[in-house]
Amino acid sequence: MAPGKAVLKGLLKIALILGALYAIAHFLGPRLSPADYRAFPVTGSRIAIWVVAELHLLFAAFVLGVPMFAVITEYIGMRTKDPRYDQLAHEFIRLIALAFTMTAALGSLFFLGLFFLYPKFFGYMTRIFQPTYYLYASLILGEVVYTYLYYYSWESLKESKRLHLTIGILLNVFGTLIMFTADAWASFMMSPAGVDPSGTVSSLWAAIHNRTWMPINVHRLIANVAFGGFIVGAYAAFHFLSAQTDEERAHYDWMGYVGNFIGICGMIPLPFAGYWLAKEVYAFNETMGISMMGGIFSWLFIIQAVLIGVLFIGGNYYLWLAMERIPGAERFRGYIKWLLSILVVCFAVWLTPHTLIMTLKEQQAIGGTHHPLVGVFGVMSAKNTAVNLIILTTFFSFMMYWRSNLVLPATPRAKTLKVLEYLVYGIAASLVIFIGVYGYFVPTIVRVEKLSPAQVGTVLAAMILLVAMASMSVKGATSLGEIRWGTIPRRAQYALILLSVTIVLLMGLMGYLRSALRLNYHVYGLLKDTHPGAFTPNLGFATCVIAVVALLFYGCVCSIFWLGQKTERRS
Amino acid sequence: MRNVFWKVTGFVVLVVALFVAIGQKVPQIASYPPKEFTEEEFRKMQQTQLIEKGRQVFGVGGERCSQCHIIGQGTPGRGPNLQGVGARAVERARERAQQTGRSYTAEDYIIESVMEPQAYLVKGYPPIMPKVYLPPLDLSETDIKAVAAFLESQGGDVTITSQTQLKPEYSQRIRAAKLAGAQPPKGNAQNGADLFYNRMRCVGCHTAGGVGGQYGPVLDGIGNVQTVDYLRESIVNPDAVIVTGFKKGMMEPYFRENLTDPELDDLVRFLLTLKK
Repeated sequence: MAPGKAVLKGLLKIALILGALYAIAHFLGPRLSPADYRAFPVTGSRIAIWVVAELHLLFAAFVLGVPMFAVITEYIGMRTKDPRYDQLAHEFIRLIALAFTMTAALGSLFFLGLFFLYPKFFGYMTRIFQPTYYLYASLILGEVVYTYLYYYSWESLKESKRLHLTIGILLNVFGTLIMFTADAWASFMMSPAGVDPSGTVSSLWAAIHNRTWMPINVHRLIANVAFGGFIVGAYAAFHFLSAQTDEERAHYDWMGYVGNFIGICGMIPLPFAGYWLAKEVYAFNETMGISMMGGIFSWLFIIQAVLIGVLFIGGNYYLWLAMERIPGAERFRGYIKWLLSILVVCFAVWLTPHTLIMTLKEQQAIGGTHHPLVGVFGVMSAKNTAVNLIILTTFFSFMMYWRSNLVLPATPRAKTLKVLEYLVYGIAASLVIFIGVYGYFVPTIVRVEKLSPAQVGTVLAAMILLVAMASMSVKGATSLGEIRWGTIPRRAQYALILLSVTIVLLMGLMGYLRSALRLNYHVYGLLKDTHPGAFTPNLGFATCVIAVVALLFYGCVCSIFWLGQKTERRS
Repeated sequence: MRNVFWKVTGFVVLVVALFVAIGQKVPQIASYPPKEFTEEEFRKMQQTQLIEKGRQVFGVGGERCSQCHIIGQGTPGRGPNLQGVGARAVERARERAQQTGRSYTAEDYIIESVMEPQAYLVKGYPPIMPKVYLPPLDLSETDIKAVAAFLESQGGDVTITSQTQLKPEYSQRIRAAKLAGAQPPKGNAQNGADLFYNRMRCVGCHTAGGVGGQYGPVLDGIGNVQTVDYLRESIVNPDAVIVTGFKKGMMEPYFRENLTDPELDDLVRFLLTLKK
């Protein structure tokens, strides 16, 4: 299809959805009797909105994450002149058109849900944010134009890659701005600003640029990259498992590797962004911060630790299995058990709850409410140390994978670099542990403001230094053979699928936290949730809803992939 | 391919099921907003009911007060362990009386600790307790009385009842907080003024804007100190709260019966504009 025609088609589709939305709200709204809340059959309005909002957010993450993935891989393809990267980017951007329609439909459903079921809340938000609604609609139209242009100009701009990449970047700019706009609404509900207690706006910009807006923007942006990578990994894994030829297996093996690489690259800075967000939550309202980390939501972080632990251990496990298909990688097998041990120990520390649920008898048996040894690990000092060491270990696995078929030159320079590399790892790990232990002896504020950033800074600096040193050390290295794409064990593909399911569950869980933190408020401290059935569900209930949404998302994504394949075959 | 699809689906379902299983294994704490009572219901409340309401407001497992305070066994919180606080309050009140030169009962000490926690801190604890009558805790006057009664019940004699009056400055502070957080009321103030001065002739008994009768309370300045709910109640059920110096039965039910719901909103909206 010609790019111009495709853009028009896309615009028409989105205009139809937006038009239908406006028509329903405009004609039906005034005909309903005024109410603060309206009921929704069977599930109730709360669950209905929860499911639709979360599904919408997952698809939004997909349509924002995959174009980032596509532009990065297209750029790598342009730089390396490897056509596989270009094909991969093209293959994925094809799915976006279908996913985009789904996202818009779910977004419209979400909008209508709030409009009809929560009119008081919707009215309140509209009074404050109405100008941003128009901006949002304009940005969506811009996103549609660039999505279709990016996909349908792939062939015609084959010789003008820079121009095509610019279109891809613009697509991502629009996507990011859409996310920033929606984040303004969501973060305002959490940390309102720019309004007086009666809801009168004093500054729209202050309402947008509230305390948690930028941390949420950054956190979601990075999370979307990781999400896009892991979804691509799962797609590749499924195709690898059902491949009929060696050629297909090789292609999807490679695609899975790229997906996992980008996913893990996104995961590495994610805990730091999460830390910043949590810090801002405390800065905005200490009561909210205490609810989150030490109050009724503290156990949620144990489930979060399980999920993040699965992501890191799963990502590492995939890399270790992937080394099986690299000639010469057997030289590094000995490291794996040590890396696994570090990951498991750190995972266990991260998992340690601050408060153990015990009977009085059990408490007497261990001499208090804290275990004499394990109790020490239930605090932030230990957990921050553990997560920094997990990141450093994952980075080590990557570097090991990257150079596993290389024999470094036996020059004094290469030998010195190798020693220096181990030294950097050692110093970084020791510093992280030292700062962690020191954190037990200082007031909380020192730990939050100084020590935790110092730990993060140490790990980031070490990673930058190690990449530079590794790049220098491979100069003049000889290869023991090419990677045997397609020969990776099948269980590695299940690791990729596990990663994609885990990140979906993790996003659902953290979405629940962000929302539930407001307790009985729609807008924290300003607009109370006065619905007769208002309550903050417990974790058991929340995990059930998140599970249902994850399965629905899985079903929808499978359908989109299937439709995409069908379209491809037809064309 | 179909075979692979079912295998992968089975794997996905298994992972999701494990996630749900972990979710069921952790402690389950749901948070419910404290039950709201009308003034009338609250006034009729027995002491045991009041203490029970206080227990609900206090919360369990990390809700509201229990986020920082424990009672009895458990991990020490950010605030003092409140087991036996009712008994300790007698001694603390004595110390407080010596410190300030004013008389203090255990009840005074407990109410002060809730309303002004920084006034007399327990040694070793930092001044971090938020104002309970402001959001996000946003406790009402009845909530505060109930939670104070619950704290008295922790080893002490419960003297607080639903009839207990808080110090006027405390009541004023709570009312001001609720006014600040009130949503913009519904209704049209101009229509309300028309109802007040002309159609319903409220002005015959009440003074507003410097004009009117003296049979009912003067309403100038009422917008500064009263809430939407209070004003509505005063029109719908005028005998619910009687202002000092006036008698029950003075205001006829006729007024409510002749007002439609939107007119009632208009009238309340007008009364809220009567500020000094």
